[in-house]
Amino acid sequence: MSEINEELISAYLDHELSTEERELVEAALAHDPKLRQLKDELEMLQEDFGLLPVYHALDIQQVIRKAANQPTVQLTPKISTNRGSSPSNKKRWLSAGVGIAACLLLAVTLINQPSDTEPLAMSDSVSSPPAEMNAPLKNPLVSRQMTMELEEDGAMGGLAIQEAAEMEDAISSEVSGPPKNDNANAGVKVFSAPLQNKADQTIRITVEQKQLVRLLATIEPTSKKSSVANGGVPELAQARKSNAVNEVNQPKELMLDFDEGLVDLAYAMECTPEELVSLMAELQNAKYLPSSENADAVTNKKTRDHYKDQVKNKQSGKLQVLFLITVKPDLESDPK
Amino acid sequence: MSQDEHDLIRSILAGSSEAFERLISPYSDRLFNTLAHILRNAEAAEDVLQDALLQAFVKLNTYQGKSSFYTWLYRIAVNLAFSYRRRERPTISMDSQKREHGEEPHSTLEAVDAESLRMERAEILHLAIGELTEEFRTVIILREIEGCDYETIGDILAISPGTVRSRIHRGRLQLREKLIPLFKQNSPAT
Repeated sequence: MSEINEELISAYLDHELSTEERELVEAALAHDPKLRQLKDELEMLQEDFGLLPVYHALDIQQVIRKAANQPTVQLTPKISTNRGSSPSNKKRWLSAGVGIAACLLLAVTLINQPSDTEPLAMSDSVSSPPAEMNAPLKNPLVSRQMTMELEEDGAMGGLAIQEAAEMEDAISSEVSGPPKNDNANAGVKVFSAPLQNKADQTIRITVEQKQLVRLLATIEPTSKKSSVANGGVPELAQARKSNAVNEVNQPKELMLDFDEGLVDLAYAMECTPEELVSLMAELQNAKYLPSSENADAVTNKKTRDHYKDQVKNKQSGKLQVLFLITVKPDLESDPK
Repeated sequence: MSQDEHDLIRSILAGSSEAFERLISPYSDRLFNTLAHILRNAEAAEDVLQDALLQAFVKLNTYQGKSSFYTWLYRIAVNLAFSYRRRERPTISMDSQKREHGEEPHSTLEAVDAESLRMERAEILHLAIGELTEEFRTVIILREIEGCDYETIGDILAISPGTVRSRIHRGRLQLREKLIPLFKQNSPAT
């Protein structure tokens, strides 16, 4: 029987022992042949690790560049407090939001096949830059709205503008119902998308930065019941789900998100009609749906029946819902 | 954190994507290799690496410098790898290898020399690593492939160095079990 805890043998081989512990182990090794055999075998095992295959990404620089050049959110607290550049940053974020939404729309279009039962857009395909999108978009409602927003703000977002122009070309007369233009400060635009190969529901919300965390918390508890893909900020679903299941290894820094900086998000989720109605009611109660007209529109029986019709032919029985969230600066004070 | 990294992070937060490339480049290939071993799949590793780098870029403003940037980045990546595995559940089991290839994972070929035996052990080790539970495999890979010390592994996985030590040892014992017959073949005469 060994005099020492055998774990110390591994730590000894890894040079993780104090001087005192090392002397203890060496003394034990000198007197215990079984311990020596264990040490020798673990040492051989360590040497064998040197023979394992070494994996290299085909083009690691491309992977890095993709991440660095994502037209996604720019979480830059300094910019948010940089008074001189706020307007241009707003345009950049809006453009980024357009890009995100464009990616999601494509993903939803590609995935939403008549017999599709797969989860909503894979985060990696959604996070691809808009330039890689080749398929024609088939949801003109949101694209029209986003294009209008760009024109109103005079944004010159470069790639996002190009993407918006492409979307504009894809707009068809199949769209039913004009978008409702709400108060610019806080509004919800709810679009119905009765045709196939579109997001079933697209919901646009504008919130102040300080409301964002609460808004996301309102949306997220519902979505954890279904497959969730977050094309705008991949870590949202990761962090929120981790919170939900009390994951031990949750990175602490990721817990501090959305209280800093201004973010435009596009958040895609699946839910049943009942869940969507419930979520919309929650959003109403939380004042993210300020207009009573809109509130009625989303919760009345006609709308509920419409949701149910939308999922009638779907094996999953779930609606594909797209949230487009624009974050405006807090009205009261600069974010910290 | 080195002054260079500090300066690069400031540049990134000011909007420089080039600075991000420079910050990440020293780690990216190693990280890819580590992820590939954790996930047992190079394609999955690329996906997870992409997500990890994106998260690092987007969330860089939350990096507080309490741990090294390396640790922070690896923490993100490893957690994403865990999530990926939970979603995808890829399995490369030694039993499935038997079924698929009709071969015994413990080769019946005679080892003609020490080098061949070593290569055979490496192959079995590679398979055996895939059989470990996630918590053992990750610490083993971070230690043996990435070369992290116990404290760094503990930072990455948010566990104590004592737990790291315990998991590494238990993981090694499991691997040793699979390789014992080959160890006996190669052991010097007593």
